Amino acid sequence: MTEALIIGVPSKGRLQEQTADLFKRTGLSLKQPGGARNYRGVLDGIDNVEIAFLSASEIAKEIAAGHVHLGVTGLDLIHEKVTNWRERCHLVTSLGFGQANVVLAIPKSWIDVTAIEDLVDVAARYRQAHGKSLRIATKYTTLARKFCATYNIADYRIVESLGATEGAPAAGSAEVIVDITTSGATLEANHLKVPKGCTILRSEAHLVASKSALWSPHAMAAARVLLDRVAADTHSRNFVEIRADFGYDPVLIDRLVNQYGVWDPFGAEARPMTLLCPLRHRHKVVDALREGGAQVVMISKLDDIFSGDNALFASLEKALG
Amino acid sequence: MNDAERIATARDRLMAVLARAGAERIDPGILQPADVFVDMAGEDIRRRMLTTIDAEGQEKALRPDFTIPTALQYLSSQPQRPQRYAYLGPVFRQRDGVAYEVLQAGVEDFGKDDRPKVDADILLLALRALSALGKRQLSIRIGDKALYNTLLSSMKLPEGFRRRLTQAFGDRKALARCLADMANAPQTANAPFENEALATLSGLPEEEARRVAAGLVDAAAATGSGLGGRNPQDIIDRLMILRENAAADHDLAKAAGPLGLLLGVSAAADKAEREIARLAALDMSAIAVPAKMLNRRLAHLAENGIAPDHLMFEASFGRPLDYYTGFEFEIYDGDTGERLVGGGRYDQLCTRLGSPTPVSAVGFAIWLEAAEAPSA
Repeated sequence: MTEALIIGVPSKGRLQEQTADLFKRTGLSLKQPGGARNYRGVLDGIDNVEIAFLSASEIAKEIAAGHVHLGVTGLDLIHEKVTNWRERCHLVTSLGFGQANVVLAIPKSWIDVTAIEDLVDVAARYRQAHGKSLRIATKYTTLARKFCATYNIADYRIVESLGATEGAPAAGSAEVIVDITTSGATLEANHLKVPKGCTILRSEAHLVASKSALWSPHAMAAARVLLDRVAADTHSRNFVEIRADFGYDPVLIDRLVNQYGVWDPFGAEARPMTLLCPLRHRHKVVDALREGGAQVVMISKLDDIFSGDNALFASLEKALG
Repeated sequence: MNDAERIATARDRLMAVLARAGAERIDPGILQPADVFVDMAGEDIRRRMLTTIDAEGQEKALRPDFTIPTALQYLSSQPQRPQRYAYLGPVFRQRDGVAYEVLQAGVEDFGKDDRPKVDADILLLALRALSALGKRQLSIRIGDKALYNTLLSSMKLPEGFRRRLTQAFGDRKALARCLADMANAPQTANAPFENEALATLSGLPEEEARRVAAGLVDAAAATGSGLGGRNPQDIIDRLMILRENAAADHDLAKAAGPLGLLLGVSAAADKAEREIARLAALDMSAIAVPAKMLNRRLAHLAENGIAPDHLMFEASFGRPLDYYTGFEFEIYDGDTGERLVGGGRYDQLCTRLGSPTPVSAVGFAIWLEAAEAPSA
């Protein structure tokens, strides 16, 4: 492995777009020097970073193998592709996109099945009535088996499905499915429903770190910068600024902190300084302020800034004589 | 004599004992078709099996046990008269991601109809086999899946819990979870309906309920893509069972305690039957058939020197393989408590493997390395 920090980034689909947006928001650009067909890239804004464009599924495997330091991938794929993932991976943070659930879905017409307990019963009786075991179509074989083991469903077969899993019951290749769903529209369109207790995993895109990769000092330094930026973006997605017209009441503030996770960055004593800063220089200014002793630095985008003069009109006037 | 020689001699003695008991030595292949095991034991066995794919894409397994390969060999032999086989060789498993290989020796016995006597004979043969390996200080635990199932069917239970309890045989944790759920269950009568169809059926007399259920199922089948892999009758039957459960006045919380005690019966075998009857407030007739089998087994064992008070009977003791159907046992080193032998009856296996007629079958396997370890 080189000294650089290697990050696995999704190479196609919505995950790719949303990951690119994430990097852009943090002031870093994903660049593919060889054009869109190149599988390698760089991150403009941090030194010693290499980007590897891979499918989300491959990213999960490469993280497990220690071939990339960090990767953006779905939690569902980590659970599915990596045995003992808790020991081999570190979930750095959820990224706020790519939410989907891995569910077990059954035909809507099974009106006697409303909860997982009903399904356990149906699976147990199935062989006696039909001479073979109940079939589950899925590409999530690990998750499906674990789910069945948890509920003591023993008599079933998995039918591996690489695409269009939702069509399996209608096509007669399986009785039920385990699949990932975002809006539920595809399940609905295929006359499938998710009984109570059959949501197997709530997934989301995560930034995941490999515990087995070789982390050089350069890689650690690059990761420090990147994670600082990602955290700033995550916080800005998850918090809003509140200004209120009342005196500082430490007891009330304390309660809000404990009860709602409110963040009181400046406390009663400090006087916050307000600056307007050119967007493209904001990180350099943040670094300078931190060097000067600042701890928490908040950056907010404003809707409008009216300056004391009207420079655009002034220059028009001048041009028109 | 060094260790290797000692072991080789002991193994020769062991196989001689089995041969003298009428067992034909066989050596089924280490590589077996994987689908047979999955068909018999369910998808769950994949976690415990080691599999590979040949050049044609056929999935093969390293045999996780000898029972299925032996049964396949028996079924392919012509003509099929009663037959006893013996084997010695490695089996391959994995647990928690770690693959391992263990040596087993054992016996499978097919086609004999006097089941309690053959059950006892097999247990006695296992004891003689261990003796040939130098293990004589032993403790024996026995159970009976048929007795457990009979106990359950003799009690008034909602179908869902009955099913869970049946599945929980041999799995202490699952049994504890099921009993805990029962203890915490709200009274089922008058509970709000989560199932719309059920809400419609409740309160209707049986004939009408069945008609309405059939109508609901027809309507459901007409929408979308039909009922998939189930028949209308499957769903109607289940709806009727759910309707009955909801209507009955089951006080599950009250039943859970005594049921736990009953299923937890663990007593010397001669006392077990009385203990069960006492706890269940049953007269003996409810469990008459399996109890008779148990007694005949015990009588035959006693005739051959194993007194009933030397055997520990546990009502919910079961072995992890799903295809056992009746008598089950394990034999432990009397000093270390380590398990040396596991065995039981599996009368349905041959039918499930495709035999046109049912074949009675019972057998045991010895964990050879454990059994050969020098006694304390």
